[in-house]
Amino acid sequence: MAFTFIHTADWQLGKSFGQFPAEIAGALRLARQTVIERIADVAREQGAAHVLVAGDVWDSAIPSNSTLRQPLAIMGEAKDVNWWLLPGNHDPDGSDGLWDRVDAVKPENVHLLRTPQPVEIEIGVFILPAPWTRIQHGQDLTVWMDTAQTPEGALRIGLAHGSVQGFGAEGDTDREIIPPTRAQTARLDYLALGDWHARREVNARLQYPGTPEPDRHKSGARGQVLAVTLAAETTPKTEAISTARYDWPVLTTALQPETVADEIESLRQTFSSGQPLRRTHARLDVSGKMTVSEWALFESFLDEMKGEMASFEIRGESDVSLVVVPEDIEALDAQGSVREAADVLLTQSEDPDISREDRQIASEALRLLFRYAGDSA
Amino acid sequence: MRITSLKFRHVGPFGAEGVALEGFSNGLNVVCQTNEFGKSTILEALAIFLFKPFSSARQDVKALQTAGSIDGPEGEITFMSGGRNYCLTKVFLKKKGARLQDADTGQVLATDRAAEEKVTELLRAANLNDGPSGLLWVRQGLSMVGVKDDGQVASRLEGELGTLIGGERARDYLTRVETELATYLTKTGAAKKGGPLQVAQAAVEATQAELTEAIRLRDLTKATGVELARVHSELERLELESSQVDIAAQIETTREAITAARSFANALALLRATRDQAIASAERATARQNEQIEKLVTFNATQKALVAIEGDEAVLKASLTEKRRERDELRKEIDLFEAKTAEQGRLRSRREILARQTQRLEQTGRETARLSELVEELDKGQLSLNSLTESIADLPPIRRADIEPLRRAADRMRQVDAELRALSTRLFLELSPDGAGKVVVEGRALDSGPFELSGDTVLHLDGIGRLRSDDGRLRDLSAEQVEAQAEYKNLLSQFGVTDVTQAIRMADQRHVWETDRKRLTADLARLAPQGRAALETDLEAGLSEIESLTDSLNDLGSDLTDTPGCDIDIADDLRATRAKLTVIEEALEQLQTKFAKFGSEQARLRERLAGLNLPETEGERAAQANSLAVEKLKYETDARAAKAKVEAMNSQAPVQSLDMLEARMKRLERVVAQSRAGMEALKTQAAGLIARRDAAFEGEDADAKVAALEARLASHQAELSRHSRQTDIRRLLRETLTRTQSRLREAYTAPVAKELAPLLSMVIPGARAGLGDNLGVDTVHRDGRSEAITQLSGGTQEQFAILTRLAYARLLARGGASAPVILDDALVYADDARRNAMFDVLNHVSSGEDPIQILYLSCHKGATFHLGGHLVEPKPWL
Repeated sequence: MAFTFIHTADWQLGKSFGQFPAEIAGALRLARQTVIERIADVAREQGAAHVLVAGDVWDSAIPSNSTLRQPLAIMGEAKDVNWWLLPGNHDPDGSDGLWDRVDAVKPENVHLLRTPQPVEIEIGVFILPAPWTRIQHGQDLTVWMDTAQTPEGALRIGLAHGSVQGFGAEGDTDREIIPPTRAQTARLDYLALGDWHARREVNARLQYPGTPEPDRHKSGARGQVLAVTLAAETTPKTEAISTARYDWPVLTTALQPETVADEIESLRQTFSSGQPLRRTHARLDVSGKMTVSEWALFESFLDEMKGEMASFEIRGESDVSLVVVPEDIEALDAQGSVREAADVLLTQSEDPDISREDRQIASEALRLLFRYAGDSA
Repeated sequence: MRITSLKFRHVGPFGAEGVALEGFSNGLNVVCQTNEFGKSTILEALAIFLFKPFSSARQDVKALQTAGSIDGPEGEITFMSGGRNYCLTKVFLKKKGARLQDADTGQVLATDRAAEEKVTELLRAANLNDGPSGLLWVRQGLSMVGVKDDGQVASRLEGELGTLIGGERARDYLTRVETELATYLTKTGAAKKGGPLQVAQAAVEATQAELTEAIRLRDLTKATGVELARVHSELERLELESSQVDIAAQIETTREAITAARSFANALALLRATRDQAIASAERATARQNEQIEKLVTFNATQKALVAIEGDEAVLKASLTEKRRERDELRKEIDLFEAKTAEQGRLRSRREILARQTQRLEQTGRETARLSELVEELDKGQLSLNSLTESIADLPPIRRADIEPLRRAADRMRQVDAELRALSTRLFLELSPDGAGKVVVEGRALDSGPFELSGDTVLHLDGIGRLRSDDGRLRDLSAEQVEAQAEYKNLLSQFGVTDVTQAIRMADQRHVWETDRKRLTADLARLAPQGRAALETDLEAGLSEIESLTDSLNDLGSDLTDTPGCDIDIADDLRATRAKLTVIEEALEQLQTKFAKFGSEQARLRERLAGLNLPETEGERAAQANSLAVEKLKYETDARAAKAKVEAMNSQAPVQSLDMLEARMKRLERVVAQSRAGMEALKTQAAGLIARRDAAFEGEDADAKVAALEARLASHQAELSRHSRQTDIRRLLRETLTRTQSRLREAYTAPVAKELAPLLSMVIPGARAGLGDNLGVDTVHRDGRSEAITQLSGGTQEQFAILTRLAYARLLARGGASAPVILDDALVYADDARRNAMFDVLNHVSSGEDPIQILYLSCHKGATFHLGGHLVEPKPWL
């Protein structure tokens, strides 16, 4: 008998996105909520009656009434799908009473996994949940699964939230507490994990689906759920299905004189390859150097991207060196105070005896001077 | 560079025939033509042909084309540069092209673009690094294109010179960066209100405050959750406790035990009541017996006391009678003593009167004697005063104040006499040897020879007469002598004295006596201030009083001698008798009080006997006592029996007392109530916390809001940092532009000013020019004051502009890069003197060592007549 379910995690409903203007932040919050509808569609398409959410359903343990109820209402509308929700480190079942609140208002097809004991979700299919009861518990909550009793021949699906030892957490090595062998030691057919926002396959029976809707500029596959099919004595079959509405690409470029125009074109192509630019939140890390004329070109490109994209963040712009050739100075002014000012600023921008900050300011002042000249040409 | 010739065709008014200006000298060249000839067009064409590429079809090139012509502007410029002659030929528009040839050999050096680049190279051949000279030439051309001519050379020149240091452009950039900086900062360098920097700062501060509040609210929400969990936990604990402990059963068991204990207690209470009643009866019987005994004892004692009192009363009565008799006798004795004492007092009073009147008599006698002495003394004084008055009347009428005039008159008389004696006449006497007479002076005969004749001396000529001096001074002194002697004698006569000495003595004597008389008069007035009559009246009154007092004393003395024994002292006897009476009266009072007490004590004892209410007979009292003893014995027996029953009942009492059971019951009921109340309170508290938390959940996500505000704060801080950086960038650019501008201005103006000074002194002696930002003259210093160039007349401004231009040209020429100076209709506003001076300057700089080539274009033949220079006549370009 094959059993198919949807494995997802890290919805982090109610995330603030405070770094963005209100309208963008609102759209991003809404996207994290509406992705539930797309997950329900995926479940139906895959013939899965169960969606297992491996923790961090909510971004906070004290969500507002609407942040708590509206997602539950969306889940309730998908009556043909059973939603199995596990408390994670962002929304632990602790003193904040979140899960009591959820329990009080949840629809019937939403099931809460608040205690570490096997739950039979279909005949012969058991979930072994490892719910978080408080933040930073510092314990491997999956230990109990090794001794959990289920009927002979039943499918055992572990559901946990946290990092696996040896794979490194997202900046938090203290939380690397789940052993990669847990599926074997606990005789699990599949250990559905959450916490990593990027897709990660530790092994065939131990996987992270990533967040269904990306929320930051990070590398790796994001914005999908896993359709998992289990059958006795066989290796689990997993399929990643895209659910994201927004792209969050992060690109790095080292600019060099004479190649900037080509690089700009390449970046434009890359940015345009995913979601439409209006649904793209991009970040560009720049370094290297450019000539005066290339700066103008590059700034024009930046203006274009800032206008086209949902958001566009530039980093390292101050570190990009301005390459000034004699012709630039000549074009600025053959002689006179403007030329001499340019020479002074150029010297300052390359002076090793002053601070890096002062060199950058001198370089940017020189760029400003060139921009004035360009504007008045 | 020096221009040799200019030829243009299809340019402005010149059309196909064209115009040719040839034969330019190295010095001053004059082109004088009427208006509308096309001088300005020639200058415009010169600039375009030198600096515009032949391929240009811009508006200015087209504007140069002759109206209606299909051919483009064509030109040929020959010039010398670096000792070599060149010929530049250029055609615009339709037949466009350029060619540079060696003017001497005709060799084509370059064509089209290469030709133009070569020309540019030749024009910039000057030392580019040597101050403004290199730039001047280049910019000269540019400025000639770029700066509109308003009809005055000044504007063209200043615009041209300004470009030397990129002045206009630098000013533009500086203005722009200042404008941008002004959006960030105020003039004092503070963040401008409403500017991006201040807005970002305000946003950071506001967001920080908002974040603090959001964190507080979030923590409050979380704390509410924690408190709610604690309350729920406590509620569970209480419910668990109440389910684990069977308090209800304990209460039931205790209640049953209390019922049994209460039944036992009731039975015991009944027995105790019977016992207590028996004991009370026995105690009452004992009390009655004791009361009877006590009454009998009292009865006997009272009767005994009554008998004793009656005995004492008789003795006291006798004593009272004796004491009253003694008292009466003493009272009579005291009355006698008091009568004697009154008589003695009257006599003492009269004696005192006698003594006072005797004393008065003595005092009046002394006063009368004193008055008599005064009258006598007064009489003596009056006699002395009269005598003194008479003596004073006998003295001459001279006083001390009169002495001084008298003395002055005597002194004057003596002085005149002395002066008269001192005034002498010297004579020489020659006696005849045979003469019989003789000359006698003051009784002494004189011999022949000189002699002195004093002023008051008379020479007696024996037998002849007298001879005396008749000097004017002698006459005056003689008259003054007579006057002085008369005055002196008059005064002596007036004062009744013979000389000054006597006058002094008499005046002193008068003074002494008059002083004595004043003193004596004062003494008399002091002795009798009221006058002598008043004194005599007082004396008579005193004598009369003495007589009256003497009579009175005689009467009193006879009265006292008629009263014998009045001096015997009976006061001590009276005091002793009164003391005895006091003792007797006190004893009598005590006896009377004691007697009165006997009566009341007897009444009290009799009342007490009656109050005992005992039978009157001895037998009856004994029978009553026996009856009471029997009754007491019976009740005591009953009480002992009742006590035994109570003790027997107590031995059967339950193990736990009713009090203990009731206390337990209360405790159990309290525990139940407290548990119930505690749970109720916790439920209420939980409901409140839930309500508060739910209310918090109705707002924004507390965590999300904090996260959002943290992100927004970071964003605002980044924005603030970005604006600060933009401010720093613009500040640096502004400072750099300003600094370099200042440095260049200094570098460029110094040599120009040096060249300008001698030229200026030729036109306006004593004037000194200050060069401004655009390298034109902006201030003029003369006669100790400074003026802005704009305050001067248009003509003067033009002269300064030309002089500045010439100074630059000389600077260029000294650097080996001579540049032509082109003056178009210049100096038309100058007066004759200034114009001639300017002409001198133009001739000066265009001759000698390093001459400047000048192209002077004018439409005023009269004016240019005085200029001199080489006249160049335009001709058609054949």
